[in-house]
Amino acid sequence: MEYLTAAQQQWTAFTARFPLETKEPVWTPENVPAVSVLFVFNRAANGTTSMEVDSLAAQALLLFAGYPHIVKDCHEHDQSPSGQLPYLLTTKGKALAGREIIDEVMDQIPGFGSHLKSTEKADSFAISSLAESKLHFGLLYDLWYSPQNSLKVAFPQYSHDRPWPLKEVLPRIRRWEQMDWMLKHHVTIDKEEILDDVKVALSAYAVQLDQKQYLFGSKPTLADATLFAYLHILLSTFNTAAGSHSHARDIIMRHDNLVQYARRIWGSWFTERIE
Amino acid sequence: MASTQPPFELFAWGPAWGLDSFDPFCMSVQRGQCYLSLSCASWVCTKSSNPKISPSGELPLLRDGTIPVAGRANIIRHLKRKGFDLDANLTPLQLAQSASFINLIETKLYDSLLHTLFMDAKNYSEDTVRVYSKQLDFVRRFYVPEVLKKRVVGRLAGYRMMLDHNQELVNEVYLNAKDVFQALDDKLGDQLFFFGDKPTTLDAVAYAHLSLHALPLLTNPKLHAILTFSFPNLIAYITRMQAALTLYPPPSPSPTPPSLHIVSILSDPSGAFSAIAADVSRLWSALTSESAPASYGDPELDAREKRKREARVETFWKWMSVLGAVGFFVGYVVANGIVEFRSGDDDDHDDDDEDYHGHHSQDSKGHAVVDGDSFVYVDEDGNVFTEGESEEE
Repeated sequence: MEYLTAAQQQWTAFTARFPLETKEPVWTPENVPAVSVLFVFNRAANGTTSMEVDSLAAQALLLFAGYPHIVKDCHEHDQSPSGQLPYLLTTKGKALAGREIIDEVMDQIPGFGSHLKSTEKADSFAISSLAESKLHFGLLYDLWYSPQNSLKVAFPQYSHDRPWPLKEVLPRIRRWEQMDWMLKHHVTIDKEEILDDVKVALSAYAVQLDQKQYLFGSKPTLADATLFAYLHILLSTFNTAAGSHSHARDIIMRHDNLVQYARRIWGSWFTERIE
Repeated sequence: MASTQPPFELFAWGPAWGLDSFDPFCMSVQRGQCYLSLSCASWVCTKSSNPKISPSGELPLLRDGTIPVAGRANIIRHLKRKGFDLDANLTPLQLAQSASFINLIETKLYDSLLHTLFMDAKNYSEDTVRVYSKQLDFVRRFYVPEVLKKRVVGRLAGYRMMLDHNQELVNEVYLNAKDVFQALDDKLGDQLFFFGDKPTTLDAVAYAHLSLHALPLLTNPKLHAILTFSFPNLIAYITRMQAALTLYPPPSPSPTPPSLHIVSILSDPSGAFSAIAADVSRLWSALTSESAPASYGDPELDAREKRKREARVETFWKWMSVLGAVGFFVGYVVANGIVEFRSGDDDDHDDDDEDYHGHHSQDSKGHAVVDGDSFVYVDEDGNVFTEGESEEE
């Protein structure tokens, strides 16, 4: 018994050298925000637009609809209920992602898109799908499939907040996920086929836009938010990194009305950073 | 001499559910559903269950002479270059809208079809696997459906369960399908076809996909229910297209394979085996195939057809089990020697003479002669002779 007591005393003296300190939590979520918060993938330094296309499309949609919100940066896709950014934390405490964000905007802002006739709404919905499939494939091909582009353009976007070795591993995991997504949708990754689809999509958009201010008149719609996101990402992402080249960007540059359209929306809606 | 061979040969998946193919991309190009018939091209259809014949790894595949063209979009583009252009009368804006709607159908609507066929457990086990089993050979039917299902699971991984407007939990893929049906309904309106009075490429693609969505023969026809109850205009459009396509020329009959010959079995046993397997497969398909085309909006007729088909299958298996039992019985009896089959005359030999070594025979006088190691002959007088002396007598 004396031996046990001595051992306990020695153990207590040893553990007393490492006192437990309880620190304050790093971040405590608000119960319900006063203004809806849109969490988007990291924006560039002093920039206003997210570096990811889905996040930028959501930013554009909320701005076009006049939905009251603030934007915060986030680099964890798993924070979102769908597993992909962006997600919207509403004033009712709901976390919405994907099409739920669109449904929320349409419910809260009934006037958004109301100037369209039923056939124009159908055309708007259909033309959005061109960007979501064909332009998306072209973007993934240029950004992730090409080894040079992925090293010089994509990897820095996904590693600049990360310590070593995460900054080496996480971008490569992301690349594998994007390639896997491409192979799930196409049996083979054929460059000519992908670029032909991009040409078809951009030609359709150029014809639909023509010389109008937006795709369906003088007011922006959901289709404009989607198209602007892809045009801006393709035009701006490959503009800075030396040695990178985007085939989809070259095709966009052939349509002057699309380039002017992207610049016009950027200048009208995204000149000031919204916090 | 001018060749009578049609210029185009289309390789596509085979028929199912009363339709010419169960793959909407094959149907978009094929007859009864579309582009080749609507454009009045001369063509022949060859059923194929091997996508590897295509350079892209997917069917349909069009062969124009020696030129292979793979993929729905490439095939239609090739046909347009050859002068079979359904969109010749469309304006550039209408062409852009057509491309948008075709893309919408082939992405969001196709995802909902894949979910219905592969992710719905009842539909997959009772309908999808059965359809693929009829198309594929004996070995591939056991693993190809699972490989395809795995690919579909990966493709549809991004869809979630969410609440609809009635606060009911549904899969996002069906909410998207409803939105697409609504868009198609709005675009079609009161017109005969999407762009006026003449069918275009969009009509070919839309009909191919919608006719599969409107199938009432699935165990769990969710898309059929959505279309029937919420979009009767689209059901009417499908019926209208089905009737209209019967006015267009059918494909030329596909070349029949050569009959099996004993020389071919000896020279190419594996090819002969494949031909036999194909014949059995065709017999099975004839027994279990739907005889009438899919009829939309008449569930009683479809249920009667389904019951007839199930009765034919049941009768087939009944007779096969009887034949199998009889064959087993006969084989067991013969193998175990219970019944023997002999050929030729059976002579009654005297077993008492088996003291001699060798074989017994009779000479001209009727006395026994032994062809063996030793020979003894006894004549009528009782004289005994050894070998060789009988011949002198």
